[in-house]
Amino acid sequence: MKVSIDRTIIEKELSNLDNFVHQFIGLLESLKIEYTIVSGYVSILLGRSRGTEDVDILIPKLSFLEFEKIFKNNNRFSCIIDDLKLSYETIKEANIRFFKNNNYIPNIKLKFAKNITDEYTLKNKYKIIVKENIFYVSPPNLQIPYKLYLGSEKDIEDARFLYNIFKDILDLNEFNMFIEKFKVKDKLKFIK
Amino acid sequence: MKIDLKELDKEKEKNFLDRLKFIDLYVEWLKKTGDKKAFKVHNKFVNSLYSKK
Repeated sequence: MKVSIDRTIIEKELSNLDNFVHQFIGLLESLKIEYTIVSGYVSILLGRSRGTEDVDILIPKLSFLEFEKIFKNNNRFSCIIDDLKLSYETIKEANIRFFKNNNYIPNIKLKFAKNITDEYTLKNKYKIIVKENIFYVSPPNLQIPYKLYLGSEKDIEDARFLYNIFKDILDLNEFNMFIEKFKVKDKLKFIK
Repeated sequence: MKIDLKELDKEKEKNFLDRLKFIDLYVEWLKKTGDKKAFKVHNKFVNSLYSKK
């Protein structure tokens, strides 16, 4: 694994879960929709040995017509709500799930950027390259403090894993700024 | 039956700290072993959880 400030390169075959995610981000890319993968899957992609039911993907807020293209997507992925208008109303307020082959697990949990943290995540996404396949993920400087903020044992374990992977390339000014913003200074003891 | 919650809490915290220590050792192993071998093991584990789609 080669970890640097702007990218990590992993020499591995894609797992079944990686393939599932890569197919969905391929759909977004074909529609020229910017995205960032956030939350637990990032740790799994980097080697953490655990499963997940859903893969959270952040995209900019889309118009109804733009969202319709994802919803229809040549029937490659099914939306958990099969009514287009209701799906759009749902994603505007929360998130919406897509799955394949009538199998709910794993699924993609798609959400619109809604706040300043989401906007930062999209703008500063980090690149992971797996055998020429690119996955854009949440920037480590933010992802680790955010995991500490979420605070479940699973999230703290992910934060520790990510810190171990990225500790040599973190921008400490930015990292500490997010530690302050998320008010998680007291949880740093769990990752160091 | 009286359940000693304080004792269970201590055990729970001990397990959590133990898992955190394991993560350090696991990442060390991941880096030391090299992608090819380490991710072969990792993929085997992940693929056992998800069927091919």
